[in-house]
Amino acid sequence: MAAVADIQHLLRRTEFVARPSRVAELTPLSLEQAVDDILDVGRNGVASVPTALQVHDDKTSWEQYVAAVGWWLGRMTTVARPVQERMTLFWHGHFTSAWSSVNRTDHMVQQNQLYRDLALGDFLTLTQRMAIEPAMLVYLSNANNRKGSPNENFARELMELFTLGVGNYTEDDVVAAARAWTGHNADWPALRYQFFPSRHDTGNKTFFGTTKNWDGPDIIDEILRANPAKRLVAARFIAKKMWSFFAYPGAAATVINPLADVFLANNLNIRALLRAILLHPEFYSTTSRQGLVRSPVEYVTALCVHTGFPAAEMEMSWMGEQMGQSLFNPPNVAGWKPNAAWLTTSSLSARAKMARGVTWALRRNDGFGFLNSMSVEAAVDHVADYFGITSMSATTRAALVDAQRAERSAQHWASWWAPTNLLTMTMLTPEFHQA
Amino acid sequence: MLDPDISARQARRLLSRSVPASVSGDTRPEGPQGWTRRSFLQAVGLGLGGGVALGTLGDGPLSALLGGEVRDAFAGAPLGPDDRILVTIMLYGGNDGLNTVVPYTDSSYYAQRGSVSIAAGSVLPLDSKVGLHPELAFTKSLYDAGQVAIVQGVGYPGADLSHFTSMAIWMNGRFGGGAPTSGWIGRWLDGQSSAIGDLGAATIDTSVALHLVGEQRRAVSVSPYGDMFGTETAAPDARMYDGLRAMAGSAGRGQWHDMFSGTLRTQLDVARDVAPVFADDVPEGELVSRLTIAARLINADIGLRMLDVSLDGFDDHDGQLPNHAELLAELDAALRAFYATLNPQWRDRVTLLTQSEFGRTPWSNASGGTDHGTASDLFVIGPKVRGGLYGEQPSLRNLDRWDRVEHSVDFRSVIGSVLDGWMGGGGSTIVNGSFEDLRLFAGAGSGGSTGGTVVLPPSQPSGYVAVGPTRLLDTRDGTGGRSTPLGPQASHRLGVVGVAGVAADAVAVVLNVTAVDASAATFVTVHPSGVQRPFSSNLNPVPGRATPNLVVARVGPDGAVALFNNAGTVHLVADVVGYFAPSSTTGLLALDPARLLDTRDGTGGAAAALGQGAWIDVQVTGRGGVPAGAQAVALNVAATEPSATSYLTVWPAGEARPVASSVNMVPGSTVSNMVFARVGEGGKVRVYNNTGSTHVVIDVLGAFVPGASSRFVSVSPGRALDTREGVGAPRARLSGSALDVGLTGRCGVPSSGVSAVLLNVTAVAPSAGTYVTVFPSGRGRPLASNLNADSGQVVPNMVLARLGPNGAASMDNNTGDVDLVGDVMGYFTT
Repeated sequence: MAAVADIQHLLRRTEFVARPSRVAELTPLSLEQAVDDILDVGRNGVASVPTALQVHDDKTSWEQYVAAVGWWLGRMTTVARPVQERMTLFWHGHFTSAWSSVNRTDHMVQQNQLYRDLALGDFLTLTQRMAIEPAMLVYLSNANNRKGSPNENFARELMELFTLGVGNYTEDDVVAAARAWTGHNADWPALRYQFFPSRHDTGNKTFFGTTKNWDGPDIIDEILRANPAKRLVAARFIAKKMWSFFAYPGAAATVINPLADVFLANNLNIRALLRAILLHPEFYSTTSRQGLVRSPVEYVTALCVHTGFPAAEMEMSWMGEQMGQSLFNPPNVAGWKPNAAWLTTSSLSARAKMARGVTWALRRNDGFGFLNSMSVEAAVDHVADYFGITSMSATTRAALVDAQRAERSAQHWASWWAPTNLLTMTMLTPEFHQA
Repeated sequence: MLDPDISARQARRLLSRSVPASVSGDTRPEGPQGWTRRSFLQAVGLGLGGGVALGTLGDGPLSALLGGEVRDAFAGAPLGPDDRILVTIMLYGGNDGLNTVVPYTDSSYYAQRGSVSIAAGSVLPLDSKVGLHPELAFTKSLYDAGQVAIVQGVGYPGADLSHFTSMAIWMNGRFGGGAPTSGWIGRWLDGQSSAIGDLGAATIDTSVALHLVGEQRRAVSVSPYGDMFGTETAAPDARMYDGLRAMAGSAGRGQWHDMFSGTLRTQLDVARDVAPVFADDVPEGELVSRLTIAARLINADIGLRMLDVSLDGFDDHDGQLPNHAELLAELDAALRAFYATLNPQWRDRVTLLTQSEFGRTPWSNASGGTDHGTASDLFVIGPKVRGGLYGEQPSLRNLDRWDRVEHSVDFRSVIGSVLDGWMGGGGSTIVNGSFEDLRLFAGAGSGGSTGGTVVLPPSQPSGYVAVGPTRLLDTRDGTGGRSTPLGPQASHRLGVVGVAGVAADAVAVVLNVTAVDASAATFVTVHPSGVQRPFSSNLNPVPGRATPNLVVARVGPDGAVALFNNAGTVHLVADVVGYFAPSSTTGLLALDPARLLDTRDGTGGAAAALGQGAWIDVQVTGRGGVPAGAQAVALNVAATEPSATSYLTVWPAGEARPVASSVNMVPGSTVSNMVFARVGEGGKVRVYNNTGSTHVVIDVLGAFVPGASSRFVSVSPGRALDTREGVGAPRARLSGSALDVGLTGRCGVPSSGVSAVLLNVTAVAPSAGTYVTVFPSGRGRPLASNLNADSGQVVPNMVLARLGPNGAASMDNNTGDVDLVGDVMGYFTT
């Protein structure tokens, strides 16, 4: 039987929120059983993409984008095993493409579906498939990469950001890989992937010291399968990035390297790597429990889950931008940065405005008016519990209690403002913004 | 701290609609006290135009609502009359310098760019070679008014083509030394007094990028979208803000917990202080809106000294022409909006600086775009800027498809010049080095960290007089009147005329300067007192060893020299060995280098290492071309295979050994130093070793002979060579083949009538232990060394560089590869 606090931590990191029902389900199990339950994403079934998001229409491009954001955020808040959506978010921030550059919602959603389908699948397959997704072909310019004047954009990021990291390849390797990917373009005007032999450079290229007629997919195969040294580098690169996403950034090699070994031993199976991360004792350390700030998407997802408001009403296509995280629009090809990057004055302003907006909605028809009939302390604890805050620091609780007491003793409209401000303030406690 | 963060926000252009009132956002329902701050400000007529500050409100009942929140300890005091403001405009993605400042008469440009070029007929010409992109009409009008400095060919050594590495280097404002943890504006902020408040620097963005993050402070971010949370004035709101502020502090729940609550508190303060800025609607346009907000923030006078805005989307791998034109049009419109919004009283107080992580490839690719490049152009804009073209447009000649252009101006030179020339100094500390001052501002030198503003003209031709050696300065024991080390950016004035036999008409003194107990890697510059510190260095001390070098220092108008230390603390020791004066008729007889002593093989009569406390006499006259009447000789003295940390002293034979040192060494390292040695009894000099044993190798380079015609002319030190920067030679490390460096017709050296140039040569980070030999161009390399350096070290030595018929000296590196830097100190006439 697992410790309740461990299960709550595990659920917050994998399912965005520790729903009381899930805590009750998993606590009687062993930790391994609990992790396997969380990773049982088959229970989500096959995601169906709304028909409106499968077609392209220039005239309703923005509306399509708004609908796509609402659809994805909705999945995060409602599916049975949300770790699939959290991993989709991970791949979206890793194998990045941006709607603002691709300009096709259908292609962004199609890429998103690939990341969802293979969220816990085989990393080599995922990498090969993402390379020829229309969104990627356009975003990193392989759509127009032709013999004679190759475009280095994808070839560089494939190694720098997607698989190996700076320092594990040379500029000559970038040029060779760019030439290898020539001809792997998109047709016009449908922009589907198509290989054009006449545009492909069939000459010899020297990549990682081997001279031959390299083709684009060979490059990925070399990095992730054929070349053991590069495969090891890539396994560690991905293990470190996934650990940073689920536990905390900056872990020691003594944590990362054994995880990479598990990844390698399981033929780069992503589920195996994630399982090892979630069962690692370090995942339950204080460093890990205190190691991540909720991203704006995770914050809004938590708000939806706790309040029951539909994701589509949260205006994330606009508010996400203000908070610093627009779905389908990562800031650049390197994706989002964690923790301190979220904590800027202007982005916290947007989080606070969101909290205030949620408050007005909760207070419709004097919702939460019953708090006025409870003691100050009981009201504070009730709202904390409502938002899933299971362990509140003394500093935070004292601030809430003092403010609530002051509000109740105000001269005018105390019965309106006391619950109102308690709800907003609880959504703005530091506890609520830790993942 | 933060990784560089580069935001993409094209989507925002589509967001011109008003936000629907649904769950999101602080859209207050009609209710009790549903009185928004905006309607309040409108009610009291607080438009923003004219920069009306809140403090101008009367004492009526409405102003009481604002209470003490108008200005408190959070916002900085209003700017002082001399405080200036810098606005940085980051152009993310890599702006195409070639299509921004177009080389419209260069056929190579059109040949390489093909269709991704700007037609010559459409550019806005700046001169006969370059013109601005046609979308930059407003910028051109500012240029025509003399208010735009265009710095061409800006980059950094060893261009990295990764957006993120390159951006990190630019944002860091330093080069090398691993992943940066802070940026140049952040460190500037760190260096300001606490009076500047938390609003010293602000970015108008949702994220705070690396250049805005210091070691202790970081810039705040102001929402580009309008009102921030925390501006309501009703009592229940004020109580809630107080309650949220009370959550800040150390709660024992880890750093992110505390950072969240602390940042939320700061955000409430920022919101209150920037509120007036959003009273009027902000115009559309990604950069137009942000620069408009920036101008309003300046008008509000709430303590801001640095503002940061950005425009993204310059990474034009395909479809470049229309996209780039749109972005430059946005930049131009934003500059126009900025000046239209800025209150005229602030106009002279603001400078704008554009930056981008790199330029684009000279060749276009097949997608109608360009790939990641290297050097590019940037703009420095403002009424106090000295308008014009700076640096050099990179050459496009003979480039292969994969070639990238070389930079001519180091990015640190730009940042340092802006900090020193505009923001009150500290540039060399912030960028961690001394780089050329581009003199971008009218009244150059104002606010800078350098001394006076006079640059001395070349001295009269002068002969040599040998003295001493005599110790003039030892900051360890108070000799010379100072008994404390020099701190960072500190100078010590050392009077030299009238002491130790130096005559009143001395134009330059010859000192052996030794740096001891350096706390950090630094450099020391010796220059005329009372004169602006030149862009040169004499010593490169590192912790753990004493480093000597011969210095020929021009004497300032006050009869003194200044010794400047860049970083950390360091003790300095200076021994005077001679001086140059017009009244002396002793000239230089430059010689082919000849070995006078090598204790390893018996050359010069001794075939054993020099032991502890031992000395040896070396015959100098009658050997290597040194005539009998020579008063002094110029020697290169090398200590090799020393067994202990020790020093050598060279002095005239037959005289008492002075308190002085000529070469300092540590075990396992070969060290050479130029020595001007007065000739003693029997035409000999004496060499003493203090500790352990060491081999000694001495080459003679010249002799000072009464009546010889060659006179010395001291010039303001100038950098004649820097292979890291492409100064005086291609930007490439020196390896197998000798490098010819032309030394006449530049750096104050005339184009004829020169026999030799006195050059301080610094070897930077050789790949292996090596030595460098300098000899006349066109001649064979002699058996001699001028400079010995271990792998990775930075080692200078004075070199008497004799010139070939072509006015050049050859420099040869023996092992591995190395960068070389050469500063001209003066020259000898024929």
